Amino acid sequence: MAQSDTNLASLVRQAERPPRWGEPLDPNMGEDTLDMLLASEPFSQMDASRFPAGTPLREILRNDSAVREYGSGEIILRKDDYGTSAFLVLTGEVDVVIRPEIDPRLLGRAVRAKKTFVARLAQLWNNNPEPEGWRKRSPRASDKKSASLDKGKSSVYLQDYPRIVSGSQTAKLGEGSMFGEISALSRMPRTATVVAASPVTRLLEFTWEGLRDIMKYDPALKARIDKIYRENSLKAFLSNHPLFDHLDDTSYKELCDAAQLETYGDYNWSGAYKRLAKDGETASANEPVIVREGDYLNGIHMIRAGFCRVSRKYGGGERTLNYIGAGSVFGFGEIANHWKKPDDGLQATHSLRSLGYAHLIFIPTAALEKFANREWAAAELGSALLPDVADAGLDEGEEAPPAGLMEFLAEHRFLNGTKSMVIDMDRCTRCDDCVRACASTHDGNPRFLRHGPIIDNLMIANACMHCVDPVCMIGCPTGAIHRTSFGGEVVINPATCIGCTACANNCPYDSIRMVEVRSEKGEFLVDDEFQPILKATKCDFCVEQKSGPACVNACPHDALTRTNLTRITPIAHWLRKN
Amino acid sequence: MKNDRKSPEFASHEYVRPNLNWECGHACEGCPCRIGPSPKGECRATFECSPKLVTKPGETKGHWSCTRPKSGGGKCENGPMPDGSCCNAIPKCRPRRSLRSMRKLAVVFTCIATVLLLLIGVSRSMRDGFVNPGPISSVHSSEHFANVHRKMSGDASTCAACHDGAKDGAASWHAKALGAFKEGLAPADLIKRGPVESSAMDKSCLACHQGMEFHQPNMPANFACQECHKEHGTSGFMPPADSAYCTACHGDADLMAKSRDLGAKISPHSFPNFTGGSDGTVPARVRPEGGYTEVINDFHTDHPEFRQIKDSLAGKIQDTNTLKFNHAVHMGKGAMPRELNCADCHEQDGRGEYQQPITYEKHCTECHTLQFDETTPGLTLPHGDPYYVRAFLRSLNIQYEEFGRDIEGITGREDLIAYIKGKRESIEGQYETGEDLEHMVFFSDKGTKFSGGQRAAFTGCAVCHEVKPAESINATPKIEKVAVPVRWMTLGKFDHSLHEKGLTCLDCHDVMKSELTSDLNLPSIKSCTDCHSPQGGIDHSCTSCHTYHNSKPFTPLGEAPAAPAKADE
Amino acid sequence: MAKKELDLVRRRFAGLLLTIFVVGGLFAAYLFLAPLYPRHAYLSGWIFLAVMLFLTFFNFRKKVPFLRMGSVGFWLQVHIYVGIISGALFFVHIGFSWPHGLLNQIIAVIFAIVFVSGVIGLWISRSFPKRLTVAGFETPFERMPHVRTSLRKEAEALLLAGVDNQTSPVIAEFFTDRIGLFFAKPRNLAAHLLRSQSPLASHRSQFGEIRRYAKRTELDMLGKLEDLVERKHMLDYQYALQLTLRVWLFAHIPLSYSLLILSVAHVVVVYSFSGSAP
Repeated sequence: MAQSDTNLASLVRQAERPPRWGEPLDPNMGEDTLDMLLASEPFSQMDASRFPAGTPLREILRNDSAVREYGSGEIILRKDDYGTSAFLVLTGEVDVVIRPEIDPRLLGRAVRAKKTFVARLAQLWNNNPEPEGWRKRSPRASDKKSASLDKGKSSVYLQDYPRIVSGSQTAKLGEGSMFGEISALSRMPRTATVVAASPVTRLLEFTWEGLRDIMKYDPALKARIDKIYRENSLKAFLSNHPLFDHLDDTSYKELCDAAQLETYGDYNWSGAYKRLAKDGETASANEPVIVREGDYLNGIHMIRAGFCRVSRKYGGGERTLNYIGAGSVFGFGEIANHWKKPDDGLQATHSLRSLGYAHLIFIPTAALEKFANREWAAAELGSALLPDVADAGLDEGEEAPPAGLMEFLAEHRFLNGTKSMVIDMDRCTRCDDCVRACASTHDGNPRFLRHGPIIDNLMIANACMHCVDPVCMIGCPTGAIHRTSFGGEVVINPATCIGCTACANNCPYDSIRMVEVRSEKGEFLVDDEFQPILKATKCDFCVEQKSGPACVNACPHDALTRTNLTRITPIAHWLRKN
Repeated sequence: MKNDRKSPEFASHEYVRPNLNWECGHACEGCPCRIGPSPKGECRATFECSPKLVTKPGETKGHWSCTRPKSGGGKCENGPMPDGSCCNAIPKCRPRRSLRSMRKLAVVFTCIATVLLLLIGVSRSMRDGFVNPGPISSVHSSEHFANVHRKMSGDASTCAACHDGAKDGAASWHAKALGAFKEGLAPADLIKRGPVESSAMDKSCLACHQGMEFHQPNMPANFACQECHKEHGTSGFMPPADSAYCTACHGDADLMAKSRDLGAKISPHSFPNFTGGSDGTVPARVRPEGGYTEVINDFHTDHPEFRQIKDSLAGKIQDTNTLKFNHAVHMGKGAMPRELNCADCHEQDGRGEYQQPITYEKHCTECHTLQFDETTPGLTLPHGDPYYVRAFLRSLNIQYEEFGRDIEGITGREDLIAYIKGKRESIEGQYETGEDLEHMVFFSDKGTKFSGGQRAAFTGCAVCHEVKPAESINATPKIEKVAVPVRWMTLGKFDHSLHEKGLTCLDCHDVMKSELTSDLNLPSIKSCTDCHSPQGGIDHSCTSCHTYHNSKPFTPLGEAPAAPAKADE
Repeated sequence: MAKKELDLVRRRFAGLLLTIFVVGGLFAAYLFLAPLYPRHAYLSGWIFLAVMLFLTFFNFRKKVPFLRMGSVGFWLQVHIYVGIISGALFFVHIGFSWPHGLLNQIIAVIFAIVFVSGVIGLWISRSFPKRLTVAGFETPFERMPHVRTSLRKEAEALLLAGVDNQTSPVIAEFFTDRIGLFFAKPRNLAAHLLRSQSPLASHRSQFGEIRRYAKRTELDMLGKLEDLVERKHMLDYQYALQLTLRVWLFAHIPLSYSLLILSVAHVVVVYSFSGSAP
């Protein structure tokens, strides 16, 4: 390498910084299609002058939307998949399958591309010796924009669709309707399967970034979507909960009217949490109280998103018994008990506090008495779905994790992680084999830090936890950071990542690191201003490796695991097994 | 103030990369440079940025602007030099190898060192000592052996005397090893049960030692020399073959049955037979039907009775000695003028292993004198040859004359003539003719009588010997030659002197009742196993009596038969 | 926690039982079967070589964490138990008598080193992590130079700032004579390995002594300095143990390869000298 005498020039290489719209959703989007779209509802109603010069409506449509055509019976969305796009029906009709669910085997989920054996073996010699030396062609198999969206490469039809849906309760959506916006905006799995009903169903697919931008500059659409969102999400949530899944449409309407939405804490809670952590105050004193122990209980709280702490007075303080997340119900045990023994008072036996941000649905006792499925409730009382009881979900004789550990997890908000890296430091020989394994599966670059807060003998290492609610995704301008459609691992598409650092700043756990990309020869890739081109990197849970997470496989001492901390059962199991 | 034991804080915005072989030399100062060493470990540090020439609209020259990125600290205070060079040069470092990279290096060095060690080890001068797995017996490691080997083969390495592999040097080993792997030591051969069958290495042994056909021809297979003769064990003599090697076959009923069947198909002449002692006293032994295929596991448990005893009990063999000797009478108390001990006749030789031969002159004359004339007790017949006896009897005048002159001391001629005449008359009074006298001397077997003194009156040769009449007129009667076998059991190396401690002759040889010469008087195996057994604690190995080889293996160091050069001389 | 230990105990018990069973079987086979099979040394040799290859393969398994062939944790378990069995196999192969030849002795010595280093390594990797966890001040090995430097800089800054912008000569002398070099590089490694508290105690008594001569205003600064010294001790403790956790492999791994090379040479020599080739 020629040594430059006066500056760093020998070690930099000019490169193009990937733009916001580097990879349009539909590269074949033509001008006539755009004209057609702009002339039709709802775009024709929009005021193009409200859009800034950098992101005109036409360009948003050109880059962040695509016109898709589906045949009758073709699956558009699958329930429980993760997805980031919303759909607008242009022509034809779609069926939203409400109940019963279609057999998941019929849904033909796209299998994520995994590396072949040869490609995996090639990691032995093909990995770049240069840290962050990136090849022009990304070594990842799934780095295509389409891979992060619902319209997969292969379309799947439901064979004999009318027969399959004949007994099902479906809702028809016609022209001008919108669907898919709940999971696109809330980062939650799809709440229902959607199937094209007409022989020629034309849909406009939006990326959520596009939807967000349009909502930002068009108040009418924002108001409309907010309304749909409120209605649909409440209904979708309640109809999916076994307490209420026996109801008919009118009852639902009544129930939805009775139910109240409650939001505690900040939606973008990571910033608030970071501030709190800086002040050294994360104790429960700062957490908003939803229900206080001993107060009269006038209904149940169902948690839709976020986390809550269930605690009980112990001596002069509060002892955390459990933390509960989405899908859990608080207060039902006491009410059910009251039904059996009406003489007993109806006081809350535990306190409920929101941890950071929590989104709850409150259902008053009166509505509950009217609509709740009592048979199911009687059978399931005390089980995992109703985690009033602290040791819910644990096997016979199994001990709950120590209270200190639960306190620790709650305080650090680790209970957001579905795949947190937990290391048993009593077994870990600090050999770094996990880090090396990670590097060998990620082109020679580790994607986590084997370091982090320690409680007793457990370390929660600094690796992406693949949160239930990945707040890192909130600010991404291109949708490069997304969830895999099935499994929900949070991954970053390096091809579309523009290095804006939004995700890294949003992550409350500092699990995303910006790296300065280099060429294969080690030169920094820089833009016109000689500023290094950054990429956000983090643990991708080895989604492309058939072997699963390499760090777990590589640990010689069974000290490392990736575990779901959103519930106490998995960690309790692991602690016992090890 | 007490420390909390929390981890120290450090920047978490960068990955720790333990997978890299090199780290920046400034890392130990806590400030590794942003560039980092190359994968080969060279420092690449130059400057912190590459300034950019910014030309504002209207400006002609423009000015240089710092482009240091945020991760490097952002724009620097001083800005670039006027000529556009960066003002912050990064001090060069010497990148440090990571511990793991050093370990990789250690692996490579160790491997190279090992290969070098091997190469030195198998080099010509070191090779024999390097690969030798253990000390060689004194004979095969002697200078003499080396000389003989060198003369025979011209090879410098004594290893090559046995091992083919040592002949051509290390370069040929892999081929030879592969050959052995294909044949002889193939995986299937490794689980073959013993004994080891004859292999190519035996040829090396046979260059000096006698042929392979030294055991019985009905063996199912020929066994390798090394099966019994273990080299590379000790620097002294090669250790004796263990009994287990023998019983590996002889204790195996199946194998023995196989041997028996095989033996039935083989001509009896091809079996080595004991042809008898060299003096003819010990009779030849015939191979028993079925050969020697009894199952034997131990000397003290199932070893068959000795052949001689078995055969003598069956009447197949007996002592063919022509001397008439009655042990019972000689050992009997009272009948004899004095009590006789075994040692009176059976005298040990110098080594104590054998008995000295019993001779008439030494052991019999005390009692059995050859006085034929009662009136002249001092005159005795010569012992040995019947011809001399007859000549003596036919020249009695001269014999009396010599006796009178030399023994009685009669010197006067007249006195001497009168003395001879008296004697002649006396003898002529006893026998009618000279022939009678001769016949009496040779053939009388009246037995021995003790009259007065100790000496038995001589009555005739036939008392002790078998005397046959003369075959022709002039011939003398024939007396069969007396022959006592030196040893009946020719296989065993029996040492009488070793058995004297605590044992008398009679403990083993029951002669007190033996009246016939034909009695063998040998001890049965039962009298051996009391001591030669694990209980008795005395050696009971096969090789203390038997040798595997039919003829004694000889050591050829002096006169190697295989050396043609010698044959020419 | 009681259950966790029980499970571990059960797993170890099963592994150990299996190993003892195999080792016992090997010794029994040597006693009762070997006399019948004259080439048993070749057989045990091949098995031994295969076992050594298998044991070495563990290192390659660690290099390919992305292949589906059982977790490395499982491989290590097998590695340990097969390693123990290899010790028994070694004795069976050499016939319980120390070899005489030079090559064979070299191989035997290297095997002994590899085996013993493995046993020591096992003990280290089972006992040190707990000590490290209990000791606290967890620091990744690669970051230790950085932490050490920052401790030193902190101490120096503390001293230079002094009290009332004036460093007392007594404390300056104390620092240069007693403390300065202590921060320069890892110290008292052997003492830390042996869990000796004496270096720390010695520092404490030195601080106790210097406090007598310090001005009242300097006591606070001395307290901070002592705090840094204690941190450095904790860092050295981490360093000593983590270094040992890595360094034992410097004997175990290179010599394993050496052992393999020599074993192959041994096989070639033995086969070419066997005299079995036609």
